[in-house]
Amino acid sequence: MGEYVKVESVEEAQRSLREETSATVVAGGQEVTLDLRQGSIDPRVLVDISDVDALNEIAHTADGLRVGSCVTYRDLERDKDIRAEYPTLVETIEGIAGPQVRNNGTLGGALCDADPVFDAPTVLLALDASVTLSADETARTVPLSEFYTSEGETVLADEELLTSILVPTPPARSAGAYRSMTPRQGDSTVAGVAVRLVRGDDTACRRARIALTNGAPMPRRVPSAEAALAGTTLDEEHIERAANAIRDALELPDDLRSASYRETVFGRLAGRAIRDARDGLPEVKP
Amino acid sequence: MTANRRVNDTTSAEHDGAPAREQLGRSHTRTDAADKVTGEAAYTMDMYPEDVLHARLVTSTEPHARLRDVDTAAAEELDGVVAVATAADAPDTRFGEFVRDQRVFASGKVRYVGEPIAVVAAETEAIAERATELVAVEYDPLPSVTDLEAAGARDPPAVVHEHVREYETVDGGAHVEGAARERPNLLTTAIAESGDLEAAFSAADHVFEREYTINPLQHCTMEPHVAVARADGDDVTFWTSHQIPHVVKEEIADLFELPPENVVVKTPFAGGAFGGKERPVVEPRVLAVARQTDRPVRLALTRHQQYTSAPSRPELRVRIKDGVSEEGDLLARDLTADISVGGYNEEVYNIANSVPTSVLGSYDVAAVRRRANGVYTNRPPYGAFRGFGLPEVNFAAERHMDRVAAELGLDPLEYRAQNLLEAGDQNALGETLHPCENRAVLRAPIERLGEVDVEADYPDYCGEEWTVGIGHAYGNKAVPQGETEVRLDVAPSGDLTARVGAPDVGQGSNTVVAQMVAKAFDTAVERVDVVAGDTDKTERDFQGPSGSRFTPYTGNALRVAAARLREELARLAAPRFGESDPDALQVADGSVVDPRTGKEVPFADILDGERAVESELFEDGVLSVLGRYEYHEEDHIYWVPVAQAAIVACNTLTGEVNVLRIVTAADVGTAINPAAVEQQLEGGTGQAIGGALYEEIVYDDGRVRNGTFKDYAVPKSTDLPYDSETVVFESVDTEGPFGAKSVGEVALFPTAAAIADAVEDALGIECTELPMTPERVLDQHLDT
Amino acid sequence: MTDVQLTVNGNEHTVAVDAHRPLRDVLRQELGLTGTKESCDSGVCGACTVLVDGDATKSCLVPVGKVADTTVTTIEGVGGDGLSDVQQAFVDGFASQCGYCMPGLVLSAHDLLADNPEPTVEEIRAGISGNVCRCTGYVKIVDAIMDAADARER
Repeated sequence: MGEYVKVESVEEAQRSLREETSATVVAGGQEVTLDLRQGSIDPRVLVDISDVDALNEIAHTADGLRVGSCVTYRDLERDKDIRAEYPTLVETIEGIAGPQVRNNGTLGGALCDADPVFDAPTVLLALDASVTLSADETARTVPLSEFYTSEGETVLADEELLTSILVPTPPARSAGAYRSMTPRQGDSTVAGVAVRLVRGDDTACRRARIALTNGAPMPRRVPSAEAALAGTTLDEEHIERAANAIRDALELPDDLRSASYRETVFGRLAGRAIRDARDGLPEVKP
Repeated sequence: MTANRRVNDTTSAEHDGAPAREQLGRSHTRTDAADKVTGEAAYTMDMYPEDVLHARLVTSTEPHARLRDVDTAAAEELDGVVAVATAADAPDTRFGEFVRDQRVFASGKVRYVGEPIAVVAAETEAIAERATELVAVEYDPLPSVTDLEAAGARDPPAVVHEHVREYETVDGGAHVEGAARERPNLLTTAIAESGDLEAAFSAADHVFEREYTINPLQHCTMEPHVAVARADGDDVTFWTSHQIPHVVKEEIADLFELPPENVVVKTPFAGGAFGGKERPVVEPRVLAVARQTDRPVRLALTRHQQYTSAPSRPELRVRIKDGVSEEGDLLARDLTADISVGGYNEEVYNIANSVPTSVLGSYDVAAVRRRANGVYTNRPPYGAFRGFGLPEVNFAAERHMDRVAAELGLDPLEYRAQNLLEAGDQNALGETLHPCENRAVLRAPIERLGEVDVEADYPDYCGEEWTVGIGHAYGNKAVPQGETEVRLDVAPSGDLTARVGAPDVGQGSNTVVAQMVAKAFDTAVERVDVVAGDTDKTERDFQGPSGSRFTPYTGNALRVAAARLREELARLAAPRFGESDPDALQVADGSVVDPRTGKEVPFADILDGERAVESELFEDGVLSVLGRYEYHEEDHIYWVPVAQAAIVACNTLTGEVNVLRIVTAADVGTAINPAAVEQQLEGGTGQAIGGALYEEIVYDDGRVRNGTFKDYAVPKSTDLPYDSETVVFESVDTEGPFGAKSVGEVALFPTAAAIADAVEDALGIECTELPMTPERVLDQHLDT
Repeated sequence: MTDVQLTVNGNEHTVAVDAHRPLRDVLRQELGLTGTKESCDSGVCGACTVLVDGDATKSCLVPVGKVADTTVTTIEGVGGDGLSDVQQAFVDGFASQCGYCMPGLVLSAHDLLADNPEPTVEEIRAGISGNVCRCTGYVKIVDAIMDAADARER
């Protein structure tokens, strides 16, 4: 309980964090407010970075789409260019929670929360996204697949801010899909599978990325499933192997639904997502 | 798929001052609508009187335990805490409906997780919450029993109320007798039988037996249980979000030994009730602490406490055995419903006792035995939920009709039609079914669906992943006998004030009251003011909007009162007409009129306060009368037949079920306000879909696991079909006011069975358990 | 406690509060604006919805310090002397039953139509998916929003 500081620059944010031992960073503020309400955090200072210009920029660069960490889901939904280039990402975002939450929720906030039930981090993993973490003098780029530790935390150091996310330009001849199961619209996802396939010259699948929502204590890719598809014709046999690999890799968090149901659903959603992505590839013969 | 539907006659276009001559059958704009869309409507939850203290409940964390110690010292010392109440500060006597089994605070033992142990009142909500954490409770845990079957056994793992047979009973409540006493957790057992069951089963060509399970759910009223209490010596005033303020008043007066005239209970609007606000829940607890201070105290349940410390809809297991002839005549039915009471009896005693007699309006079965058992468990208490247990039993009964039809190779609609109880028939209780449109209602939804071209109408659901199915079910709501009182005032100006004990909890009762009274006085609806939900300003109504009883009892009581006032006005006016026969005179638009001559005498002329008005009904400048109406000739005053047909899409990957289209048909007698009728049918259908597919309270040894809207799936806009259509039949019921019947609960009766039938059509699975969650559906689908 | 300056419905207020307190509580208990409702207390039901710089926002999910330099609109600030067109459509269309969800829904509807003046039924259903209604089944609410959109078009 206490102070609320709205900073206007990344430097100012970092200074506040340096000077204050009990501080929490706020972007959209929604998760933080819930945590405050539940009493799981009680910082003296809330440092609000949502007005920092640099963190609200959207740029189409040579490397791909660079999104400031405070860009809201709504901003992304409204951007026609992003929708055209990253359809799976935008469709996924449209299904997140409800309009009010998307008006205020940010990609950066979602990533830093490290909640395995969030959909956006999963799709970003499948798109090979990376994040820029800025400390005072330095900044480092971390692939999103290395951003989470196995305990469900992030590698964000105390003095670091997540300032931007880079979503690489999709390779030519690639397609993605995200399939998930939620009890109701906008609920926490029970099981989700994101797939991105890159077609090869000789093979249907040169490279695969597969990531899971709520399949582990943190958002996570499944390298064994990716390997099961890479270099294959994406026929039913290989899809089945990938689905099995996903089931084997599951470390299911607690849930009202039984583990056996979720395993079954993960397997079925995986098959569906892979086929949907495959069908989006050019000139694929399964 | 469906174009934008228009509500019948939605506008009330008579605002040019001219009186509306058609007060009934008109979709008069609801009188509360403007205040509600502007946020000006008053709810208890919005009351923060000056100087108010904020209270919070301290509740049990054990499902069954001896209460060794409750230490409030640390809580009392917290800065900002003003008062704390425990069992020592509350009456020691038990209270309850039919059986007094409950105390204000736990004493000696706790019987469910969520049972109130203490209340803290503090300057702010945050301090009150902090203080609840400082109340130190020591438990000696006891074995607990939450499984319904285990609890109902002769030697259950735990006995919830060891001395239940010695508890005082009230209002005709009774303890179990004979062999039933050997089941220590059996609170009540009720039975209704008719005909020779054994002979009928022997004569049957086929016998089919099944068990059905209905899991608990929560009302999820948008406004929680909340009350503000001010205690000034023996004078106690409550504002509370409640359905039946007069019940709160009586029970509080009785429990706290206060003169009833000193207890005032007011409900402004309530943000939803659905049966969950029929008993005193927060009121006794907040009063216990309000008595210690002269400041008003506000107690609201947290959303989690709504699941643990307010009533929820019970768990039921229903076993049905039907005997049928080869030709499809239903010859015998043996039905037993086991109902979980929870740790204390909120209303399951009443529910169990009404089940046997109330499910007898659908089909003509010669030999019938219906039993219901209420069994204590170490679960949060269960109570009434829209339909009073009957929709849940109807789910089982309708599923069973489908089962039998399927086994015999009969069309399920024709099987029902063949066995339908007809107007003029007697049911197994000897009650005669009133004329009603039950045959038309039975068939209407399927007829309205017509030929369904799935590929054309639902292209998104064609393909491997989804399968579409169609289902249907029937039901009827038997509205029980009852009684109530109202007061009606007519002023010299011609303005009327209807005083009804029942608050408007969302169903639009205030508007319908105004329409009925306006009709009775042949005047504009706008001339009627409705005062509702204030025990100080209304007569005794112990039913409120519960059990669909508002329409018949309040409605008819208003007619009785109106008739008496018209009679009195005519009598007072008669000399002005040189008339010896007041019966020849009528009232219209604030005047007494002679229809033969057209002469009018305004009320003002005969109620002129300057001269003493020679009427015993004249007081404080108005003519005022108490209207009382009761019906006890039969167990039920009328039946409301209802049917639904649903089109669903089932996802074969995940088990998710989407309701694409649903049609609801009902015979409502007379639709006093057609749009308000639609509101109830659409809204009830939506709520029932929630119970059919999504909603379930999940427990872990008596602890609620999903006590938030995050984890408990109350439906959102995209979870319910937009394509929800209502088909209203009217057949004037002579017992209903102006021929009107009740519509508040009826839509919930067939829904789950219609959807289960549709899922079975799509996937070939039986669905005998509610809700039909994706997991349950997928499990069955994969088993086939 | 700090002094937080808020602009609510065009009026400036200075309230001495804990800046971390949810906006919902400050509106209801400090400013007496109880049109914004408290219901689920977990950020799901949307009964607490207000507009922050025109965007529908759940006020139970916003620390009051966050809105210090924004424009907050509550249900009390909708319509002027009478009802807004959306409110009138809700009244005429029988969209309200118990009414507790109505303030939040009216504001979500205003935001929805500002963003998307000609929504389809599906877009309306998605657009109000952040508001729970327990009474109506949503049908008349969707119709009322459609009516309001149609009326604006004319």
